[in-house]
Amino acid sequence: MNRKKIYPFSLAVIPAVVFIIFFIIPSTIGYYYAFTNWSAARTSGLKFVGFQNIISVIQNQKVPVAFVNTLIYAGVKTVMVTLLGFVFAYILNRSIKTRTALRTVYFIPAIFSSLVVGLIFSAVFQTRHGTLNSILGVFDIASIQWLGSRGTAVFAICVAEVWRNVGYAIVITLAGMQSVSSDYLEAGKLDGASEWQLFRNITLPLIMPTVNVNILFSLIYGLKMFDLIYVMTGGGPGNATESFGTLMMNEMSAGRYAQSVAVNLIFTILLVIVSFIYQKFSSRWETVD
Amino acid sequence: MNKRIKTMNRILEVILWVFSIVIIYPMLMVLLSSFKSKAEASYLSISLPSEWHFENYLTVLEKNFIQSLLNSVFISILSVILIVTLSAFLGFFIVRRDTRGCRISYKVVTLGIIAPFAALPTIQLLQQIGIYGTRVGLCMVYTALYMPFTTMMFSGFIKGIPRELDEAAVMDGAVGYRLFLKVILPLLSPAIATTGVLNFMWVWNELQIPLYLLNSSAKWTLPLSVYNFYGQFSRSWNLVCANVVLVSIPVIIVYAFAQKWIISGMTAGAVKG
Amino acid sequence: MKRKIALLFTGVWLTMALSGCGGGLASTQTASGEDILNEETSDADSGSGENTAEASGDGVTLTLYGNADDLAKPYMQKIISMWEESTGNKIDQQGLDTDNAETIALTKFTTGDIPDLYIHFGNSNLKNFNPAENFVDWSDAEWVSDIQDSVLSQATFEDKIIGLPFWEASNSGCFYNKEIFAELGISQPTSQAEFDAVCDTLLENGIQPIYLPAADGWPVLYQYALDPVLEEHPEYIDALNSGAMTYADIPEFTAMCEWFKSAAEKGYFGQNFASDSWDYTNEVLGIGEAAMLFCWDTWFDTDYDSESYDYASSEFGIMPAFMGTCDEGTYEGGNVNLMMANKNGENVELAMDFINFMAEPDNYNVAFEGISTASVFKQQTTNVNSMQYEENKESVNRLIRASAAQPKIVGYSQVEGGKALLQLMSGDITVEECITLIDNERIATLESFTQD
Repeated sequence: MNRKKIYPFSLAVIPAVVFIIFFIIPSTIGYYYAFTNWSAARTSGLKFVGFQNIISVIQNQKVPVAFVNTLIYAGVKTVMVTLLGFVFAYILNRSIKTRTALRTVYFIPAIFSSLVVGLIFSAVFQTRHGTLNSILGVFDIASIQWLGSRGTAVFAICVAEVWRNVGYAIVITLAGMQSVSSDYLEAGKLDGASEWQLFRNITLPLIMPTVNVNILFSLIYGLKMFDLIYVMTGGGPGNATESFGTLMMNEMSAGRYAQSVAVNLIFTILLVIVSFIYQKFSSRWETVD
Repeated sequence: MNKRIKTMNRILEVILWVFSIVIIYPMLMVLLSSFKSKAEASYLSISLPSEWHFENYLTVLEKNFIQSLLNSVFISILSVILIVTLSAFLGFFIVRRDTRGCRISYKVVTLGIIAPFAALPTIQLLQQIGIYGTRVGLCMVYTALYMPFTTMMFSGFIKGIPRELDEAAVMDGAVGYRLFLKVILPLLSPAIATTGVLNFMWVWNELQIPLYLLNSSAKWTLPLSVYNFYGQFSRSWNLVCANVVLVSIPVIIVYAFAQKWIISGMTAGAVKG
Repeated sequence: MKRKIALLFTGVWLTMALSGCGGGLASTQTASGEDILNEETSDADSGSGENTAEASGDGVTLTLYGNADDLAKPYMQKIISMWEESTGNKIDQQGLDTDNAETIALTKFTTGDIPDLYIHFGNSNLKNFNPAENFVDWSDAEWVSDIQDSVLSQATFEDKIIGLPFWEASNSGCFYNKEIFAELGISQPTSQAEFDAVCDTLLENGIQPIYLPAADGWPVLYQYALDPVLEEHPEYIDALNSGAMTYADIPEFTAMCEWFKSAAEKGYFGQNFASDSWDYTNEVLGIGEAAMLFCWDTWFDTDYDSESYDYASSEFGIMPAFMGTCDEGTYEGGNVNLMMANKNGENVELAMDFINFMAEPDNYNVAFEGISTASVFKQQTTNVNSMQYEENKESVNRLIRASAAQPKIVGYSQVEGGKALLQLMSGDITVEECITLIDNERIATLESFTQD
């Protein structure tokens, strides 16, 4: 019996229809609006304006900063989350009595929404009465205006995002580590390999696929960051912490709908390129099972 | 296990607990602030409240809390059922049928994780269909948005189920849906539990999308209720914190019950994904 | 063990939820009132998103959109219940969340979801809502002559009166701690130079002169500086809006930027203005850490918490704002919310009836009884002017200007302008760059309206 009969198309019809109607159509057709003069004040009789909006978006003074910020957020988040996730997962993989409790605690931040995390950390990083400054005050160190200048504000946002996402990375990496067959490790030990050698030559290559998953997701969601930034700084001080996501929101709030979609379009292209490059890159790291 | 390793593990354990302060401290602050007066709460510390203002919680609950709660429950459960069911079928189809068309479709689906949510076109679409502003419309959008990740998870999981099992059932005359229900479904429970809980958490916490797609405050979801306490010019930190605590409790409960599935499920799905 | 804890949580939480339920039903005042209305009339929300009236037995239901806080004002609630009682109709109040109210309302309007009644400030953002197409023209209404001149311009759009300014009006300027001033022997400044000298004196005595929560953007309130300029040169408004002129062409705009910059450098705004937020305004003023604040008088009545800190609201007085553009100083008149009616709606007659009801002196005097506000209507007698206004009436009446910058300049943005000025004050950009930033924002919005 051929495959088409065993796995008929009817299995996929409903999911495909839902996905196409509610996601693909708005996302693709929606991009057409970027080439019109759509705005809140003009909802009908739209004219085609070509690349005018795209160009004005690119020329927008806020874009370079937002672009750099977006990359910073994604980069820092990816590196820190993957690294920390790895380290903690490694430790939690060992025989520790309170393992389960620790795993639960470290995963809890993942339960909260971005808004909640943003609120918590804007409290932590407040200049006045903020948690960090209070602690510094105990040691008689002067308060720092965390959310008042670009460097520290970007740092604060990265901290919040990493805090929220390390839990996911730990769980995934841990899962990967636990699936490394103990046969390999036994064989290695019989050959007299040290713990470090075991790790480097057996464990590490085998969990690379898992680490890749971590990296890819961190990268994509890091680039898309918006909620957290909006709540913590509103893109400020000034426009110092804007990301592509917040830019899109600003255009929409100002009623400049076509520009908002234009930002979205450019952003999507950027994301596709990044993930494409990453896929090519990472397939070189992965060892074949 | 030798003594050196044991000591090492002990030390690491302690270090990990020390680091966990970074997680526990902010949450403690939110919890304690929720019982303070507005002025005291703005100090954002973990000091104990000078007076315990339990009525903060009543204030929060009065503002349409039950309605929002029921909305959230309805929307989350319906969305999760749709997401999990549709993704399972789609994943099964793509992985097993394995034609070139399938592989291309898979890539398209994974693009769904990358592309951002297009608010305005989605609204227009929902209007055309006539379900704009309804909770069901919201659920359909969630389904489409969260299907990519869940489909990936299921695909990875199903790849790990040997085809021999399929073939054996086919011999007995089971194809399509019956095949799925007979062979795959029983083995899928970890994946279903995992994706169910994860999607529940994500859909529950969604803020931006319901803001745009729901057109009356009677249909609001629970997380949106925090906006009630933003005030025109400043935030009432004590009420905001109380709201955060209340809104987080359902999710924490669900997580507590389903914890072990998340870990074991992400194991299978992520490793092979 | 874990299951027991989870069960315990569920139990506690359910109990609290149930007890909250009882409280919610009992209260009918304030915002809870609208919840009951929403629950009763939620059937009126049809799936297509268009709002149709429902004869719910004893009358028609009108839909009203607005910012949730705006709808919750006591005089709004009062006038609505007065009308409902007298006509037997209902108004379904849909309060949009404060932070996103503008964006959400915009989205609704542009997707055809237009309510019978809409309340929105009379500023240039209104243009996004297509007033000419959507709202009833009241130019011939009887009550137009009853509106104070300073406020009427905000209700005007393209020479038509598009809504009723049923709102409080405040007097905006610079508020100062009277006690601190008295202690240091400071008297009210009457010129820019004197104002700067006052700031210097405060600085010397270890007090932060002005609390400027620039992190939030809008509290920079630079429209106070522009109002006098536009009063003297009303032609600037049309020139800006038609693209014939930019902010860079207005010398006073540069002067304003330079004042903010030098004030920040001298320390007038303290060290932390880049991260100061409005959340802490009450506290900073209350403990006397800062002596002055750019604000509006009704805030001290409605929002200021006099109990928690040392200084109560009565210890603050009003004086002119000096921001480098007007040597005698200036106050800003009220910014009013307009009640507008959907002229293409099914219930336009009824909506207009509601608005006419609001404009009757007998009715508005009942609604505004005891409310602290300047008078918006000429026959308004029951409002209570703020204490700050009464104490300095002469100065306010002499130097007050109608709010012109914010309502009239297309693309005027409090937040974006505040953000640009913040960057200027932090020393990140030059004055020219700052003006360019603000101009670009304005022009981008202007172009999106006129793009052809």
